[in-house]
Amino acid sequence: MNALAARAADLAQRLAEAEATIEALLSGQVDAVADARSLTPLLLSKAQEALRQSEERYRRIVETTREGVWMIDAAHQTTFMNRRMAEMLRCEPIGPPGSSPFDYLDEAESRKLAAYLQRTDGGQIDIRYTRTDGTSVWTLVEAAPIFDGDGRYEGSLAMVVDITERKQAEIALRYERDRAESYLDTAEVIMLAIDLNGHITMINRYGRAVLGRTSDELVGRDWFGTCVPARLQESLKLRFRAFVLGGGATGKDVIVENLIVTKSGEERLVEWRNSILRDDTGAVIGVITSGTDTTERAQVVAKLVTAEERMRFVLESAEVGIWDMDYTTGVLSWSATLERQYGLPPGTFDGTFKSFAALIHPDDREAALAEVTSATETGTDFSLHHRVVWPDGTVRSLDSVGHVHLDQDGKPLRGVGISLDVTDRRLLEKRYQMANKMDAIGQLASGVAHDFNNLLTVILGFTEFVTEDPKISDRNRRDLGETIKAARRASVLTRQLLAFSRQQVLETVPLDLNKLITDMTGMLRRLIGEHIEVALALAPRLPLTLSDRGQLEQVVMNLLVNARDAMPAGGTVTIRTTHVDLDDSTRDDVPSIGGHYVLLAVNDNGIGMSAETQRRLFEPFYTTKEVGHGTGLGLATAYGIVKQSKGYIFADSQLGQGTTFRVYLPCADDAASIAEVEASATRPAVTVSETVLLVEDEAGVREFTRRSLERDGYRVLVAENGNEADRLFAERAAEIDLILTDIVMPGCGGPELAARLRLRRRDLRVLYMSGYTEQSSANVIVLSGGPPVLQKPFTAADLRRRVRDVLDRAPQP
Amino acid sequence: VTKPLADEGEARLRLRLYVAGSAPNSLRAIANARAMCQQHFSCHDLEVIDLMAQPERAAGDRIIVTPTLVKLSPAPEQRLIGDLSDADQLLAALGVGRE
Repeated sequence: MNALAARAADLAQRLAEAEATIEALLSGQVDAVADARSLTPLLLSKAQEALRQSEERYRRIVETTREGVWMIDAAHQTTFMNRRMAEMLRCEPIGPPGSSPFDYLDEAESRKLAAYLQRTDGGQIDIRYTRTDGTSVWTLVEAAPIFDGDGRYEGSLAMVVDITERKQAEIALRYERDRAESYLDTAEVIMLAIDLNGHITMINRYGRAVLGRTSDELVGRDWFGTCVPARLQESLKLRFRAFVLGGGATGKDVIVENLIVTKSGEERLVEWRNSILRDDTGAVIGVITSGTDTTERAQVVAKLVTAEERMRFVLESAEVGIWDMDYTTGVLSWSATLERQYGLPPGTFDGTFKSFAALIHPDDREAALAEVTSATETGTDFSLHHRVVWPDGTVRSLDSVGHVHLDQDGKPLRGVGISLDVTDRRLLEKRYQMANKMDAIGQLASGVAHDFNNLLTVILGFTEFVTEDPKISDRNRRDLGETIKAARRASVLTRQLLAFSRQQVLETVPLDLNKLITDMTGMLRRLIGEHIEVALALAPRLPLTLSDRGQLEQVVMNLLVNARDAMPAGGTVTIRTTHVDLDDSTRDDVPSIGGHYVLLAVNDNGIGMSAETQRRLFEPFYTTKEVGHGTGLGLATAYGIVKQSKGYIFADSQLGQGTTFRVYLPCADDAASIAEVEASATRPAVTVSETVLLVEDEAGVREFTRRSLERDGYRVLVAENGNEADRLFAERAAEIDLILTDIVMPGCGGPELAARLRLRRRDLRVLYMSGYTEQSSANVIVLSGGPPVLQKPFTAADLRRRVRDVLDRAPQP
Repeated sequence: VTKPLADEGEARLRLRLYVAGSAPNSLRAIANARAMCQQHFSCHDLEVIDLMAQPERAAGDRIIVTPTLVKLSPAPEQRLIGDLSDADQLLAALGVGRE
C-alpha cells in the first residue's frame, strides 16, 4: 500500500511537473527541451537568438525606411515588398500573388529594367513605374542579385527611391535650359563668353555665323588673336583686362563698340554689352557679353546724319523754323530761324512754353493754345495760323504744323514741328483777291457804262437838236442847257469809271496835258476830298504830248490818290507841268533819256516813304496801305502806262517830308500838234455830199446819229446790224464813202464787218463808235495809227468833227 | 519582510538550476534564483548546470526543458520550470512561506 501510495504521489508530482512544463512552454519561459542524448531542435542557440533579433531589427528598418524594398525571385516574381514600396505603387503590401515589377512598367521601361538586372556591375537606374491608376512614379532603383550557395541566381533585392519631384524639377530645368540654349542659338545677337585669358569658352550660332567660323575654330581659341583686327588687338586686350580686374564695378566698358574681323577678313562693327562672369564663390572667371552687329546701323546712322544735315540746310535756307518740345522736361527748343520768326536774336529764347505763349498775338493766343492743348491730348497732327508780336511791336503771321507723340498711357512725350513766316504771302493773297474783286467790279462797271453811254448819247443829241430850234423860248433853251450840262457831267463820270476799270479803248493822240488836267480838276477834287487842297502850277505854251487821254487821266488820278493817302490829316497836293530838255546824264539808273519832254510833277507834303518802300514802289501788288484800301496796282499801272507812252516816272521822297512823283512824257512832233484842236462849236455850211453807211444796233443812238449826219449834209444809209450792212454794201458799194459802225454789236461786230467790207473796197474809210471795248482788247491794244474811235457819249459837234476828220484824211492802208 | 529560516544547520537549502547557455529565459532564471537566495537565505547552495555544455546531466534529474530549478533539500524535492520571475510562487515552491 505504501509503495502504491508512494507511486501515486510520484505520478501526481510528475503530472504537476508536466503541467508546469507545458505552462512554461506556453508562456514562453522555456529555452530548450532536453532529452537524454542532446538538446532537442527546440533549443535556440545564442547565435540563433542574435539572428532572430537581427532579423527583427532589419524588419523594423525595412518597414520604416523611406526607401522601397522589393525582392524578386529568379522568375522576377515578387517575394517581398515593404510598406513604402507598396505606398509608392499604391498597391497591397504583399502585392497580388505572382505579381512582378514588370507589371508596373511600360515597354520602354521594361527593356531598361531587364537590361539592368542582367548587369553585374551594380549601379543605379532611373525607372518610371506606372501605377494601376495610370499615374507615374519616377524612381531611382539600385538592385543587387542574390545567389544561392552554389552560385545560382535566386533573385534580386532592389532598393527603390521615389524621385518623382526631383525628376519633375529636372525636366523643368532641362526644358528651361533647352529653351535658353535655343534662344542663344536663334537670337540675332552674338553671345560670347571668354575666360580670364581671353579664350573663348562659349559662342552661339549667330556669333559663329557673323565670324564665318565653326565652333572648333573658335572655342578654346584666343578671342583677340582670332577675331579682332590685328591693329586693335593690344589696346582691346588692355581694356579687357582692366574691365576684368575692376570686376566691372566702375560701369566703364559695360557697353563698348569695336571692330571684329571675320574669317574672310571683313571687318564689322559690333556693339557689346559686357557682364562679369563669376563662379559659385564669387571669384571672377571671365566675361560674358552680347554683341549686336551695328555695321549696317552705323552706315544708316551716317546716312541719317547726312540726310539730317541736308534737311536742316534746306529748312534753314527756306526760312523754315523748327521747334521741339520735350514734355518730360518741359523744355521747348527753337531753331535760330524760329527765333527770328518771333523777332528774337538767335539763342535768346528761354525754352519755356510760357514765353512762347506770351509772344502770340493776344487776339490769336486763346485759339492757338487750345489747338496745341488738344493735340497734346489726342496725339494728332495740328496746324496753327496765328500772328506774333515781336518785342519791337512788329506783327507777323506764322503758319506752323506739328505732331505730338504720346506714351502708352496717353501722356505727351515729345512734340516736333516747323513754322513758316507767311506774312508776305498772306498780304499777297489778300491783294490778289482784291485785284480779282477790282476786275469783277471793272467788268460790271464797264457793262453799265456801255448802256449808259448809249443813253447819254441819245439824251445829249436830241436835246441839242431841240436847242437849235429857233422857235423855243429863251427860258426853255436855258433849261435844256442845264440838261445838257448834267448829261455831260454824267458822261465824265462814266468815262472815269471806264478808266478806273481799265476797259477803255486806247488811242494815242497828241494832247494838251494842261487841258487834260484842268478838265479833270473837278473830278479830282471830289476824288481826294475837301481836307486836301489841290494847287495847279501849269506852264503856259506847253508842247503837246503824244499819249492816250484815258491812260494819262488814269496816271494823274493814281498819283493824286497816292498823294491823298499819304496825307491822312490833310495837306496840299501840287500839280505842276513844265517843258524840259533832258540830257543823257540826268539819271544814272536809266540808260537813255535824252530829248524833249513834258514834265508832270505831283507833289504832296505827306508822310513820305522809306527807302524800302521807294525801292518797291512800282512793284505790282506792293502796298503800304491797309488791306482793303489799295490794290497795290495804282502806281504799277501808272508806271506801265508811262513806259508804254515812251516816258519815264520817278519818285523822290523822304520820311516826314512828303513825296514828289515826276512823269516825263515825250513831246509830240509839230505835225501832229494840230490834231488837238478844239472843234468849232458852230456848224459849218453844208457843203458835203458824201454817203455814210451807219451801223448801230441801239435805235436811239442810230436815230440821233442819222439825223445829225443828215443835218450836216451827208447821205446816210442805215443798218441795224452787220448782216444788213453787208447786204446794203453789196447793193451800193460804189457810193459809200465811210462806214460809221458801233464796235460791239450782236452777231457781227464792227471790226469784223469793217475787215470784210474792206476786202471789197480797200480805200473804204472806217470810224468806230464805242461805249467800251471787248475784254480781249482792253488795256493791250493801242489803236494808234489804226481806225479812229468815237467815244460815246458824243455830241453832234463831236460827230461832225470826227467824221470830217476821217473823210479828209488820206485813205487808210 | 520574510522570516529567516530558524535552524541554519538542519535546514540548509540546496538548489540545482538547469539552463541552456545564455538563452534569455535561462539567464533570467539564473538572475532571479540568485537574487532570491541572497535575499531570503543566509545559508544556501545553488548549483547552475548548463545543459549546452553538459547535456548528459539532463538525464540525472529527468530534466525535459530549461530552465528548470530543482530543490534538493530540505525535502521534499520540488521542481520549478520557467524564468522564476514569479517570486511568490518561487518561495512557495521552496517551502518558505511568508509569516
